[in-house]
Amino acid sequence: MTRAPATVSERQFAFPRNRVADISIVARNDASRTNEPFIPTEAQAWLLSFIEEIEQLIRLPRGWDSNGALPPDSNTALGALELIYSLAQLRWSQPTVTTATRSGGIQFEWGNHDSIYFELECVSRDTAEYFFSDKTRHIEKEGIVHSGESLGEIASLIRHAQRFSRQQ
Amino acid sequence: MSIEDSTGDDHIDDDEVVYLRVPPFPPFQKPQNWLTSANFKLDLRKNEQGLSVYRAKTRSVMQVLQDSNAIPGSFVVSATVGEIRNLKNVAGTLLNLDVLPRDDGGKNPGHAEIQSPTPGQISKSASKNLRDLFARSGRITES
Repeated sequence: MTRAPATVSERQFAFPRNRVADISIVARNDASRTNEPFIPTEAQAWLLSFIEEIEQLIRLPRGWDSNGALPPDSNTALGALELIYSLAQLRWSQPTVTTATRSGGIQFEWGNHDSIYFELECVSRDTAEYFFSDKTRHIEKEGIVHSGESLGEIASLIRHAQRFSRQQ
Repeated sequence: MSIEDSTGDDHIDDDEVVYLRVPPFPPFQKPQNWLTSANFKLDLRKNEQGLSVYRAKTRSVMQVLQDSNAIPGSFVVSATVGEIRNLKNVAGTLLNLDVLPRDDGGKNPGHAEIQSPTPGQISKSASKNLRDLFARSGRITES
């Protein structure tokens, strides 16, 4: 099989351990070097805001769901950051929703509930579960991806769903 | 407390309406008004066997939202038991969900659970299709 160079589909669910801090530090150093206000690129800005969102998720209070659920733990949060960073390497669309699940997962959604929808739930440091639904073609698909495995299937489903993303 | 619950009746009629309580969305969730399938997933860390709902004929919306566990700003969404039992995935396959009374011997009147044929498991498809079903009711608040 011919392997195309570095597309999202070639990315794996893997992440340099200190990369989150690197993103922030490198971006800010670039700004300080020019003595200009820090103006991140769109992608950097989104990743930085995403990190803040994840930090808020792990600080959710016990019982945040009104039924006693605990917040996601830091390992799952790190897994979510690794996963999103891996997907964000090349062309991709930001999820329309980022939320905690009651079991301690971190869930991302793309698409539209009324037509094509994709969800990706990071359930631990190295495991994510996904679900795809296409109401127009009457198709559902779900699966699991582990750290080190290809994100090709996921990237393909995200690309498909993102074309139908819109706010409710 | 309903007579049905306290006497151990284990059947809920299809025409009954049930409420599912949804906590307020965290301020960082974008968009904030987006009801997600995550609202219809079990808490596996607590070994939940089913998804908690409340029978409208026993608990009013106000009672569900004023429960001591309820977070201010919560709202409910609703569906009939028949709709839940007849829920299908997008391929048209019946999800075989049921709604069973679980009032804890009368301590939690009107409480019931949506369960799959395998208690303790609600598939991602079931969560998504439950989300779509309950979303049709729109938000119901005290006022």
